[in-house]
Amino acid sequence: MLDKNAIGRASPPTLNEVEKGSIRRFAEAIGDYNPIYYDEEYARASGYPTIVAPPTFPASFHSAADLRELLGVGIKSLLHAEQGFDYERPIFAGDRIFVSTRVADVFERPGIAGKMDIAVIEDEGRDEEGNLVFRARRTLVVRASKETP
Amino acid sequence: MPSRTFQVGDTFTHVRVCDRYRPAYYAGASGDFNPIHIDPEVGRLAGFNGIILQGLCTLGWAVEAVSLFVGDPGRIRRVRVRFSRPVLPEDTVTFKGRVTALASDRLTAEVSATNQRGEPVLKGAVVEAAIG
Repeated sequence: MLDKNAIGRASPPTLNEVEKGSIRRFAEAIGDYNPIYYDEEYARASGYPTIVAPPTFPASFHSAADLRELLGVGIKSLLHAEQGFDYERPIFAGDRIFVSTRVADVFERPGIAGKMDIAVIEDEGRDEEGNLVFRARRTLVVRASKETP
Repeated sequence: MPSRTFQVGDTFTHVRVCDRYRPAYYAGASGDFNPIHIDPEVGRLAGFNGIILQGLCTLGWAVEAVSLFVGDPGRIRRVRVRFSRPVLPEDTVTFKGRVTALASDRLTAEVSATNQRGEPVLKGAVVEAAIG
């Protein structure tokens, strides 16, 4: 059973600078060769100020969050069960996005091999003016280890 | 982008193959080096045959399916997904989408995905895109 006191625990915002090279590498990793991710002129002709990042690009963002610290347990394994994203706008090359992470919920769910520990982790990305850019919410099946973090 | 009309019930399909190095590429690009995606031994300890693909890569493909259908990934506004089963190296994943709701400015699609054995990988993922 994960500690309910972890709910609400958060990491301070961490700056992520969105680079063209990172967008290209991320799009290539998915195998998505849409020119909007690679070609500045194409992106502008599509009505955007510059190269656009794939919608799931926030997967590559860093935050200061250490899940072991946020949840207060050692982690043996993590399984990704659910994911949500909400976008206020697309993410562009050159964006400076501050990402913070918080524990939205922890609970138990019945599983095939007994009760499973579930953690819901929320990331929030804001621009330099403080405007919300995206929210991401992942639901993880956590197998805690005996060692303390 | 050329404007086009959409209708509830419109369908689309997208196919992606997870080659054996895909989890490593995705780890490098995303920073998700969870050993379950890199180390076959860790994958086996977790009850799989070896390594598994990052769920977010599978999701990236589902979102790509909708982006191709609406014609522009910059229009994606909302994504909700539950992973049924991981994608494994050498799997071929078929994404099937269907428009379930339309508003003047918003299209909602439901996407499901199965592997080559017909097993569900994603079920009832919801993706919303700005239109108009």
